[in-house]
Parts: sequence; structure tokens; C-alpha cells
Amino acid sequence: MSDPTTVTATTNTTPQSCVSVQCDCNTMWSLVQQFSYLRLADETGDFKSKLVKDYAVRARRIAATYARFYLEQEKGCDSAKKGRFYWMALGAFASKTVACTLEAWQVRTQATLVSKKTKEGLGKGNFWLFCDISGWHLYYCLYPGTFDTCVGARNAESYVPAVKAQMKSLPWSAEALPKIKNMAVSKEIREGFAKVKEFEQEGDAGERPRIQMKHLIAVANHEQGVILQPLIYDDKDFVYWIETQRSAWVNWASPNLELVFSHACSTERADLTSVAPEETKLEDLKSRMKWIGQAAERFHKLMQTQKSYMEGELASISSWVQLADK
Amino acid sequence: MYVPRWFLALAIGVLELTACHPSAADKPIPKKEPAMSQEVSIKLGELGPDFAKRYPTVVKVQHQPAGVDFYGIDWDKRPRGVVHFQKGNASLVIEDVLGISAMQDLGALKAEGFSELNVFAGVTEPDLISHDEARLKTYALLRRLLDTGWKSTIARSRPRLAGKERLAYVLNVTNSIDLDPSYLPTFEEWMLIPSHTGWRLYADRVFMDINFTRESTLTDPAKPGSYLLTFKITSETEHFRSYVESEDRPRWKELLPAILSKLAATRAQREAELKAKGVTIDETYQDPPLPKL
Repeated sequence: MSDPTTVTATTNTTPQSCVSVQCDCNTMWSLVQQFSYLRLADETGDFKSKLVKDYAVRARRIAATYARFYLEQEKGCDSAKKGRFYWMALGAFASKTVACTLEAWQVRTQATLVSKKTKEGLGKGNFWLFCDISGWHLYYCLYPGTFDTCVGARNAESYVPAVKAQMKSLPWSAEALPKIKNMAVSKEIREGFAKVKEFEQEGDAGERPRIQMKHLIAVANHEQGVILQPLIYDDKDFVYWIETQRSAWVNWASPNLELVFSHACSTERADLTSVAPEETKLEDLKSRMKWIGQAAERFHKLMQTQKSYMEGELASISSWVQLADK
Repeated sequence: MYVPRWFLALAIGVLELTACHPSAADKPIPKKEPAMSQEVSIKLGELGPDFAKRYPTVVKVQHQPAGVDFYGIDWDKRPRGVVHFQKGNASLVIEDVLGISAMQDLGALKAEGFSELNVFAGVTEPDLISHDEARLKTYALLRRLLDTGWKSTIARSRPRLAGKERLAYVLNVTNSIDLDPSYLPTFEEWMLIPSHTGWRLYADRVFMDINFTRESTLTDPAKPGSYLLTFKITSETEHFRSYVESEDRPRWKELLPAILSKLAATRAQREAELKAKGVTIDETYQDPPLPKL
């Protein structure tokens, strides 16, 4: 007799005896989902773990995990297929930037209203994006044979009881899970993983970058539109503080929000590094599309022309995977 | 009041207008007096610092520790920019530009200057546009490019398909193959084409990818949408250098012949599979000329 997570069998005298259990999609997603919170937790003994408290440390572990996915170092990954999880490379640099931003605020303006509001927004967005996005990738790596069957079944409300309860105990969960639709599949995720498959099958080196770019944009649209928009951008207070950070009058006190493609927090030639333009208006749709498109194109150009440098930086980022809490 | 192009050109010092002007035939007449657009000329091969010197108040430079600088201009506020791309018969003018970006290598390829330009532009000036107007205006732009000497091109490993056959491939197999710019899709077909699909063109040893972004939250065919066009203009050298794996870029000339043979074989195989299914192959299609190796 078995339920989704336990199986009962009679002991016998045959070594290496096995008993089969039929897992449904909910069980499979429950198995995969545990990865995200265990990666951000430290073991405390007796099969118990404690979530790391520091938002910047979480952001660095998240960046490391994204880098490990890109570099095909996570469980179930395949180094021969490196490049298929292209968004993960961009995500690693983005989460590093979040960590740098949080760390800078901790030093400069700790406990002020500005830092608290923005810190919560960045911490929440980064954490729940990770819970969502790492799951799709890990499932694809570990169980490629059932990915298409189960991709549409993901629903945090339908996880096995132990995992469902664990999800409910995670920070911001009561607010976040409904807003991100319990991590249900989006058309962008379906498209992004269709491109992963296409990449795996494409033999033309000149065409693979185009497939990578389409994958990147699809997953970025999921990240921006399905997760971050309802979760934090729609929060008027958070938008206000982000806009304020970009505006010229507090620029001296704000960290550079621009993506720097390095494991370090700032460029060596800070004089040449521009900040996000203060005139960028999120409500102008074309402007927003351009902003995302330009960031993606610049990342893409570096990945295509400076690949060994970029992968070296990602390897450095990947080393933060067990960074100690503060 | 409509501001004549010559006035704009004089006002900001762009005196050398291009001979080929695909956008001039169908210049939209603004409904109200426009603020003065900023015109910028840019070309492949120009060194980043030289470009910045020509437009010192608007060019932003972003250094990346990878050993490159990105040069760009943003027009997130109106008036938008007008970009003159200059290259002989491939010259063109792009209007309603929200931004341009180009990479300057600081290492071994420093002397090459800009080998690729990205231009982000609206289909028309307003933020919102009906989906059908976006379709018609985009294909009008493509038609003007074809009429002024740009030719449609297909990746060398992809099957030679034209018109509706190419569209069917995009919709049913992959949008990694690009659309035929000479085939105007019906409105229903247009709405089925995924965002970030595009067209590939070449002229005068310059390659240009155009693709469209459709705002993902505004896809109701009966309501307005929002569209962005991305133009990626690439030098011949950079185009063919991208045929090889990233780590092989320094010796692309040596590797290219063998790669071209492999791509031709892949195309032949893909075409054979399609032919077996009754799909028509465009036997008249000619690949762009190869570079001197």
C-alpha cells in the first residue's frame, strides 16, 4: 500500500530488494520543490534545517545555484548540453546584483525607510522567483522523460502534505503563492523549455545562439511578467522606492542597479559605468520592452564573444553555493 | 506643424543624408507639432570613442569587465531619435528610435570598432497601436527595404522556404527560422506569429536581422497592442565569425569552409524531409555571397 510519499513493503532475506512506487505529478513536483528551500537552508541535525536569514546571503546562494544550472553542475545536469539553460547565466549575474545592492544598503542606509521597503521587495522577489524557476529547471534535469507530462500539473496547493506545509511556512508565502498562482505553468515557461529542447537538437553553431536568445526572452518574460510584476512591481510603495533610487537626487546614495557581468560588485572603471536611466518609465510599454531587450542583447553579445570570461565569472559565482549565513 | 527633414538635419548638424531612404516614401504626418527629434548617424567600423565625440552630450558608455565598452543612446522620453545608418547601398533611416547600442572591443578586435549595431524602434510613434496597423506598417517597412536593394536571406542550415510555406514552418516547427519579408500575412496569421520572430536581410555585405516584440499583456486582437522593432545590423566579418563556436572565433576563416559544407548537408537533409511531406522548396533562392577568406 502506498500514498504519494510513503510505501509499505514486507521485509525479506534477499539483498538489494526494491519495491516500486507509482508517483504522480504532484509527488514529482513535491520532490523537486524541496530543493529550493534546502538550498537556502543550513542543516541543524536530526534531518532539520534552518533557512538562512540574511537576504544578501540568500541572493548569493541563489546566484550560485543559477550559475551551477548554466554550467550543468546541478544533479541530473549534462555538461554536453551546456548552454541550454541560458537564462540561468543571466539570472546568476542578476541575483549577484541583488546581493550587491542589499549589501551596499546594509552599509550605507541600514534601517531607514528607504532601505527597509526596497530590501523587502528585492528579498521577496528574489526568493520566490528562485522557488519557482529552480523547480522547472531541476525537474527538466532530473526527470526529462516526464517533464512534458507533468509540466502543466505544478501547483503548490497540490503538493504532498509535508511539502505543502513547508511551503506555507516560508517567508511571505501567504501573500506570494496566490500572486504567483501557486507556481502554475505559464505559456512563457512552455516556450522557454521548448527552446531548451530545440537547442539540444540543433547542430548548427551559428543558429544555437538565436535559440538561446529566444529561450532567454521567454523565461525573462515569465520572470518579469508572471512572477515579479504581481509580486513586487505592482506594489506601489516598492515601485516608488525603486524609482527614487534611480532618480538623480539620491543617486549619490544609491547603489548601481545596472547589471555588471562580473562576480564582483562593481566595475574597475566606475567612471564609465552608467546607471539605469532616470527617465526610464515602466508605464511606457515600448520603453520597458526596449530596456529588457537591450539588457538581454548586451548579455547575449558578451556570452557569444567573451564566453570564456563569462563562464569563468559564473564559475566564481557558483562557489557561493554554501555561503555561511550572517 | 510638420518640420521638414532638411530643417531637422541642419538643426543638429547632420548634413550628409543618405541616398537610399526607405522610410521617406511613407513618412507619417504628425497630428500635432512635434518636439524636435534628435538625428544621429552611425556606421559599422567606427571606433566607439569617435562616435562618443560626435555626440558627447547623449552617448552613454557602459564598461564591462569582460573587456568591452557598450556605447548607447537612450530616447526613453519623446521626442524619440532618428538613426541614419550609413553604408553605401545598405544605408537606411530608422525613425521613432528608443535606443541604440553597440559594442567596442578593448582587446584584440579593438581596431574593428563597431561590428554590430542594435537599434530599438517603434512601429509608429504612439505607445499603443492596433495589431493590424502594426502588421501593415511593419510589412510596409520591409517592402521599402526590399525595394531599395535589401534581400531576404535564410540561415544556411535551414530549408529554403518562401511565403506561406515559410510561415507554416514558423508556426508549426520553429520560429528560429525567420519569416519571408515579401509575404504579407493575413491578420489572423499575424496574431499567431510569436513575439520575437523576425526577418533576415542583407545588402552590400551588411546583414540585418529585424524582429518584433509584442507586449505580452496586450494580445487581444480587438484591442490595441504595443510593438517594438529590434534591428541588429552586422558586418560581414562578424556575421561569418558567428558561424563558429565562441572559442574558435579567432580562427573562423580557417574553419568556415568545413562548416559551410556541414550546413549545406543539414539544409539538404531538412529539405529532403520536407519534400517527402509535399512541401515546396524555393529552388530559386540564392545564399548571400561569401566573404574573401
